[in-house]
Amino acid sequence: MIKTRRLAFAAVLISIMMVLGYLESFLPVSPIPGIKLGLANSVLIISLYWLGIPASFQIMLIKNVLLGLLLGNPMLIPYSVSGGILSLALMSILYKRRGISPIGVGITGGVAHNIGQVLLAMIILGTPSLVFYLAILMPAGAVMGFITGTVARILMGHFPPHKHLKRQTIIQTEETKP
Amino acid sequence: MKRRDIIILVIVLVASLTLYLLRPKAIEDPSAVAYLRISIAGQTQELIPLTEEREIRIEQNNGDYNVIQVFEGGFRMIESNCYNQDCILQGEVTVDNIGSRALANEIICLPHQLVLSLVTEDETVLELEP
Repeated sequence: MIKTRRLAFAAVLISIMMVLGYLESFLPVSPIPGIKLGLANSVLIISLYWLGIPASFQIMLIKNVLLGLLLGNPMLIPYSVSGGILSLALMSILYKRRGISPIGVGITGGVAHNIGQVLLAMIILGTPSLVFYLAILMPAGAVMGFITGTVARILMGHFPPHKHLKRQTIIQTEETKP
Repeated sequence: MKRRDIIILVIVLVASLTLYLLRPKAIEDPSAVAYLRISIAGQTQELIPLTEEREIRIEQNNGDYNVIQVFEGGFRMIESNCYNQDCILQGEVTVDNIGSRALANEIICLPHQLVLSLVTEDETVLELEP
């Protein structure tokens, strides 16, 4: 029963993230590539607090692959996945520590997402000088992360998690999905 | 915002500021001849001196193509069949505007793994050494 609840909740979170990612693709393209709001990260932060680390990694991977296929740019899936992995890894380390609120988690996630993408681009394109691009991307990621973290905090304050979600069980059926 | 949130924010800002101060600002020797270096997936394909106006079309085996406009002292991407057109929005790179561009001396077309960079002769020589 708990597993089913968690599975259903994870599926809802993935669909919310897909819709947010799809809507964001309609926003005007910024002249500085790599800067975007990343509202889906709010949902991922909530998933981290409510469903735990393994489920959040699964949700992140499924969302990135599906959204990449949906928006028709499978070439860029490795970039969003590398950003997602680094971002979620750092958020996982931080989110339970004392003195850190979802806002700090959001800032870390936003910045780490940009670092992960730029690192992969540096490797694939063979351009180490891209590291200086982070001088612009990191503050942008921090601002966007502040926003997504604040949204996550407000939402979690208004909708306390169902008590059955709190049990730390891993969603096993999710693995066969993508 | 809690105490450690602010520490994270400060670390990020200090790191960004450090990178910002260290970034390449301009070509140091103004008399040096500037070159356009075209590289695909990390491999340098061609070096073109930025001395006269011309258009260069780059076609890859999978049908990807880009058109670069070269002029004296700079270049820009004018056409690409990539889906996001980011490379065109990145505007022109010239000897004088490197310090004010987000991507400094580069134009990048991520979907095509294509990097155009403005380099000087010294850098060119360095890059060409095997």
